[in-house]
Amino acid sequence: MEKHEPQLTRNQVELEMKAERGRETQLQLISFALMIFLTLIAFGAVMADLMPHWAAGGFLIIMAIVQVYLQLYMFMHMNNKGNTWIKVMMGLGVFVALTIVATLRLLIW
Amino acid sequence: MGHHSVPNNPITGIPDHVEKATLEGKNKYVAFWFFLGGETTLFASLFGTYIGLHNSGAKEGLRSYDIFEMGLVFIMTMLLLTSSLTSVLAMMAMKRNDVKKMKLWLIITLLLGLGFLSGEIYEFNHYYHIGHTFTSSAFGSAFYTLVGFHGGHVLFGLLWISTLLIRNWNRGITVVNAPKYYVSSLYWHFIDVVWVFIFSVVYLMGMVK
Amino acid sequence: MGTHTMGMPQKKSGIMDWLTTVDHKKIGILYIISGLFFLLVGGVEALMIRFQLIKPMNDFVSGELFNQLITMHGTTMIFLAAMPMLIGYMNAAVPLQIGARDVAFPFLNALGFWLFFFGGVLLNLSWFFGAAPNAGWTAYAPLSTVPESLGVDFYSLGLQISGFGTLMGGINFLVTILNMRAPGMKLMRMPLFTWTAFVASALIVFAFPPLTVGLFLLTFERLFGAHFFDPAAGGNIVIWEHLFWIFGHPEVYILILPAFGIFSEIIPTFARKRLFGYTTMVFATMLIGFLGFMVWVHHMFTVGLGPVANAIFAVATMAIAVPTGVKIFNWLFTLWGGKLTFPVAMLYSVAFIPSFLVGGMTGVMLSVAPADYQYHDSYFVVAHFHYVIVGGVVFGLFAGLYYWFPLMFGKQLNEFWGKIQFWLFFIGFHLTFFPQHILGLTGMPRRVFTYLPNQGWETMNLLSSIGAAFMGVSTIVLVISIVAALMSKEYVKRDVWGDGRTLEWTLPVPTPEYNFAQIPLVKGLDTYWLEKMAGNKTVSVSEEVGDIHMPNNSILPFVMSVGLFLAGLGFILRLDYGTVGLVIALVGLAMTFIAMFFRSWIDDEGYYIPKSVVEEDLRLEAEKEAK
Repeated sequence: MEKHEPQLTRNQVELEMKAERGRETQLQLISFALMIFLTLIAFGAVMADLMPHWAAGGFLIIMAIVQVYLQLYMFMHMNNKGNTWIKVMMGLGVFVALTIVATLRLLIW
Repeated sequence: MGHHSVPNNPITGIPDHVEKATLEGKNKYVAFWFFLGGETTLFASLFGTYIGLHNSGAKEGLRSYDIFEMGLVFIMTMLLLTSSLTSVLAMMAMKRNDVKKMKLWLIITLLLGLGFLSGEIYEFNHYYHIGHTFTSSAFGSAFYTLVGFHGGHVLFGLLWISTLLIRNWNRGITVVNAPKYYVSSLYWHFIDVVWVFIFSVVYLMGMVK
Repeated sequence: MGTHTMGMPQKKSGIMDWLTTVDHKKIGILYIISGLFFLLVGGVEALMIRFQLIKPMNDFVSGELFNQLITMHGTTMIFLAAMPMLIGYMNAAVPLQIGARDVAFPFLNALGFWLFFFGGVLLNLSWFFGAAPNAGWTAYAPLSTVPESLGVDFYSLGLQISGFGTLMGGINFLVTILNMRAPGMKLMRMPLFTWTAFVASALIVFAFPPLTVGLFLLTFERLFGAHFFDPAAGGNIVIWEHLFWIFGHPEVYILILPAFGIFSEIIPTFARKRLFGYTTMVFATMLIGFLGFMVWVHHMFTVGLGPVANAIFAVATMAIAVPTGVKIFNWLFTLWGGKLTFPVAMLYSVAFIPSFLVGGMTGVMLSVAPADYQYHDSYFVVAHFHYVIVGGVVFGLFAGLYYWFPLMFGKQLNEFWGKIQFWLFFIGFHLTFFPQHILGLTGMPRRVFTYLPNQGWETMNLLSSIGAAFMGVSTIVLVISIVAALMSKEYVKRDVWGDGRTLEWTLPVPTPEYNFAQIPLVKGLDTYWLEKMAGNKTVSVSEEVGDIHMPNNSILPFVMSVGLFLAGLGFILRLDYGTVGLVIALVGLAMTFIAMFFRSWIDDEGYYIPKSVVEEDLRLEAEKEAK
């Protein structure tokens, strides 16, 4: 049983698609601006010697993680429909990666 | 089974999600993400090795905080970050079947990547001349291996995207070449992801005494 | 279907066909044959080791040669025999089990095989330079960074090349299993072998890159003067140990999980019962795969990483025994009350359960970190991992060989000689490795090329060597049996075991190159069995007969692999022969890159097998069935 949807003219569809793209482009640009901003903060904080040694590592890693999240979800569209297995495999990859880095940081005498 | 069974979007003239409109495209797309999952553990191993050997065996004056040039690294970071954006813009142009824009953005991406690579070559050359080399210490070996692996990835990406562009220069967007463009763009973003960790972990943390 | 060239397939016969094939069935055969070849090589090395140790102060081989033998035995068996044979079964069975016409990436599949093959050849070429790797299959630094022992270069580059191939295979099977399933083949309807292939492939994707890095570091250290493992320049040898075992432990599960899968196919078939606890089997497989990444430090308990690290990894190791135990019980319950028959495949499967159990129990013993200080580097460890790898993996390889041989070659291995082969191997296996437990507990260290008399080790070593001879004879029987089967003209019929449960047994013998004339429609777990129970001769289909798209053969995978082989060889020879080596290396690299360029430049759209040919095949097959 088909529902009677209001028939859109070709023009209206085209406008709708353009608007959709506009929104997406906007989102990408905002993400990019955020990335630049995060990078500036990270560089600035180190150059200006704002942080004590113990805090620097954690702070920089958090900045990096936020930025990588933007790359993966905004630029690479990891969140798209049908990407369940991709998320599973990337998640496991990140988990193994963290184990490896933690080990080589902590467990080599 | 063939490529012709996928309906075109009447407005763009190509199928929606052209990068995975066919089974072949979908396979490439998923496989490439899985490959990136493997790359994650590859770079984790390199990062782990670097962190484990940071400044280890380096002589006075050749420690990370003595040698790193923040200005250059900052410029390189901006180049690569921007190239990630232009790569996204190219893919968006591809999806609306705007070949000209796509090629333009890809060429800009390539130029930015080339700029980054030149910066890296200059940087390595500089370090080499002040005595921080691949064989000077365990730190040197680990540094060049991690950053060099990334640089190698950038070089490969440049060659890959150029080959794609040249090969498809006179062709439109099709369900055959769109997945290829798309995964090369995923690759390019991943290079950027790795670089984010390199500038944070290697350069910025390396500057903190 | 639009306009396409109805190109008939090129005439397919002869050596060129094998060099260029992208057909997963043929690639499977290539994997199995090469794997068997390397199994023989590794077996000869094992026999030489046991012959040297047959009595105290023996001088059959020198200490140096003994080191080379143990190194090459371990490396060959793991990387060039067990893993390729398992990937061979994946190629032979997985696409058929999920109702697919091919794998997701046929070209990559061929490339994966040739890379493995030439990596293996490069590794074994070291014998002819009189410098086989001698630092143990674990190649611990700094033993492996001694530059005089050229052999380790063969190790690092040979494994690197074959490792690339394995990684490609892993990704290929993941995507094949996710994207290429026939309609109705939901994930929880997949045969267990397909499930284990899936999990093992995921392990490959995450475990091989750390090995890649480790091998690169070793190569850079040896060939280009890096200092990762050189304490004098700030290096740290523990990094190698971690990287190696981060790969090395999951590798054990990459081997054992598909073997579990093989048993999980064979036991229901010959018990004529549905696999008991299918769902728990699937989740146990995943859990083992996951935990497999969290236990590698149990190989390094004695390194001195501290009690906290040792405790964490000890507990994780013990935890793996739980899902494994679940599996053991599930197999037993599948057997329970079944209408059992015992062809050779089933004999191996049933023999596997207690044999592997012993290996599992000693595994739990070894996981107790304080106790491990006693067992470490003794023959107890050797006994343990041979019980796991031979009693688990090799039994699985043989079981799979007898089970799927008819599917791959259209002919059957002789059951009578097969039973003789089984009993020789089964007795030989326990006779070889059980005494090694005792040797270990009484203090005999592993990796020593000889020992003094009057330490109470003579009898057990003698027994162990006699057992090895049994296994050697058994292998000869197997080889003769394989050759005889291949030479015979007696073809088997479809569904050779009569009780096939999964899709691969619905196919005609020999399997047509397009596998399924019509893609099947899957109605549940063990869909063929369900259809049989409903009184049907074969499974339902999901499509009309039509043209079938096929990939083109290509020589490029072979060329790329030869190129990398030459590059590896050249870099090794560069040290001794200077320019000549460098030239070989550059020529090799150029070959590979040019082939890669051609691959991306030439459009390869494949060809179609026309509907008429498929219909003709179906008609002939129906005639054959009617007879």
